[in-house]
Amino acid sequence: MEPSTAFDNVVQSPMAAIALAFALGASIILVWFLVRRPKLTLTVKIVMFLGLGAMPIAAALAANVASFQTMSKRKFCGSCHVMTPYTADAANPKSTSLPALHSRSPWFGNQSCYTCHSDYGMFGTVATKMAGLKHVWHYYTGYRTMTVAEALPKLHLYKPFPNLTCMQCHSTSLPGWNRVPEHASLTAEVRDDRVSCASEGCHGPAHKFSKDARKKLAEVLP
Amino acid sequence: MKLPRNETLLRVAAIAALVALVLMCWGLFDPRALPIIVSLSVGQGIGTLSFLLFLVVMLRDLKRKPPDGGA
Repeated sequence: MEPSTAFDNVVQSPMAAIALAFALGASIILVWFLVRRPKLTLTVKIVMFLGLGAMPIAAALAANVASFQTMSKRKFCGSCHVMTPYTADAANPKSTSLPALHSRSPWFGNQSCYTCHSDYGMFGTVATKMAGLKHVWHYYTGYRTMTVAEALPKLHLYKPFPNLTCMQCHSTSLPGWNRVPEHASLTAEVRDDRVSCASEGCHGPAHKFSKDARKKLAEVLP
Repeated sequence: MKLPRNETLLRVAAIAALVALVLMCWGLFDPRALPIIVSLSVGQGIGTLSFLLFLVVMLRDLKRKPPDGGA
């Protein structure tokens, strides 16, 4: 189930609840200190260490984990309005697009955007976060003021979609995969990224509506 | 530059920490890009600053000359 209200997000994420509990504990100590203005005895110093150090640090760490989990969810990707056609298609139970089919997975369905668009490898998470910050920069400096129709033809990936992402699950070495004649004849090309799994004629394009919007724009432009 | 008294510094630290905690929690209640970025950067930055102020107070307290008759 996707979170629908602000409180749902906290209730459904144990780390968010832990962060909130530590923040609340620290706040109680800090307000007590500001209101009562006690003398700086050893006990007060220890209590203030909890209120200014231990508890806020614990809250920050838990909030980091909670935020990381939140940022992996499809709902978060859809919080930028230009992404709503993508997330709506992924969530559509009647859609047969590649994202929609993958979003029905019980294992990563609600994190399908992150699962398919994150980088893999040793520094994959860092690279993904850097790319995510770039998305936010582009959104707030450009796309935020555009309508979805204006933005769709302009949205694009920074680099071609790598087959390695698909191969995290579809290893290309199981008998079932190799039984498909097209797979068997293109195994080397697929593994070397010379033929994209998401190319037209194979399993793509993944987000067909965005390619259609780009084609329409190309027809209009001189 | 002369720093304010320990009590004043701690009060400033407490207020800063409260602001930091509010900002840190904002991202939890409003899971969109900007609130999360603000809570993870500005919120935690102010929080770190308030803890540093607390450490300054503790260091000053440790350096302070013990009262007469002390060990």
